[in-house]
Amino acid sequence: MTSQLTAAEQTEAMLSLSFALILIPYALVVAFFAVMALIHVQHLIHYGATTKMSFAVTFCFLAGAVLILFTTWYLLQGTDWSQRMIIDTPGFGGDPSDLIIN
Amino acid sequence: MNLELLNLIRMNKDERVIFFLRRHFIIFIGELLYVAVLGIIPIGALFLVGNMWPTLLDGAMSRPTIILVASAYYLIIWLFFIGSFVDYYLDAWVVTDQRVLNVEQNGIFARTISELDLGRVQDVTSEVNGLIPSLFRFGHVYIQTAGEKERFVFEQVPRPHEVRKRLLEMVEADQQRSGAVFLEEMQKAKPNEGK
Repeated sequence: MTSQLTAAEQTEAMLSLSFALILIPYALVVAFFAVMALIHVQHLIHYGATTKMSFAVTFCFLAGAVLILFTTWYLLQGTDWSQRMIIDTPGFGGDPSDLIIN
Repeated sequence: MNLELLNLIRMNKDERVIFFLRRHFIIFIGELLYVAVLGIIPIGALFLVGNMWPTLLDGAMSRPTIILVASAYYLIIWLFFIGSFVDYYLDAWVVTDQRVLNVEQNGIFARTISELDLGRVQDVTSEVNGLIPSLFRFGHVYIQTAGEKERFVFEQVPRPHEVRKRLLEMVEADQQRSGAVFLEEMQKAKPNEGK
């Protein structure tokens, strides 16, 4: 069946996803980072943020986090998120029956 | 009194703090170096990829993917940095003229505070083991308690030998004080016995 399809039909049959989907796992990492950062900073404030040192480290940490996120945003500015990712599944010619192993 | 100490423990009215110890600062510097090494790895990898597959860094999809992966990696490293600091900073040992307190932060959600009366201290051992501890003068102080297998350990504290010496003096003073109070009570009790 695969050999009967033209090259264009084969490409169309391949799984295609929006490139913007790659932002989902990144957003999950950022969310995890934000929650853990909040917990750590809360711990410091609750148990001893009255010193200059813990204040300085907390400030450095927050500044560093902002720097990482800003740099990421800056470097990704020209990205076309509407482009499609083509995921090639070997042996899959577009007909779902191809996936059934007899 | 130190505000920071008030946040960590609840002090008695007549209690006096003798030592407030944390791990030696060089321990945190070591963690910082570890973070720095982890931070350099992607730069090296980028250099390597740039030489081997130069087109990969300019691809319409590969470039943003690499940036996002690197960004996620750096965020995790940064989290590791603050986690190390919290772990370093919230572990503390307090010696007062009445007791010894061990405040330990294990990860984010586990915090253990244990205390020991000075009268229960049987033996104190200090240990400086290795090149870096000898250079920076830090080590462990082990406190053996009466009737317990487990020991109190002050980990990687600065000047452990001085801490041990002062702690033993404190224990001796506490024992003398307790002995004097006991004798006083006995003398008070004696006249009442005859009545």
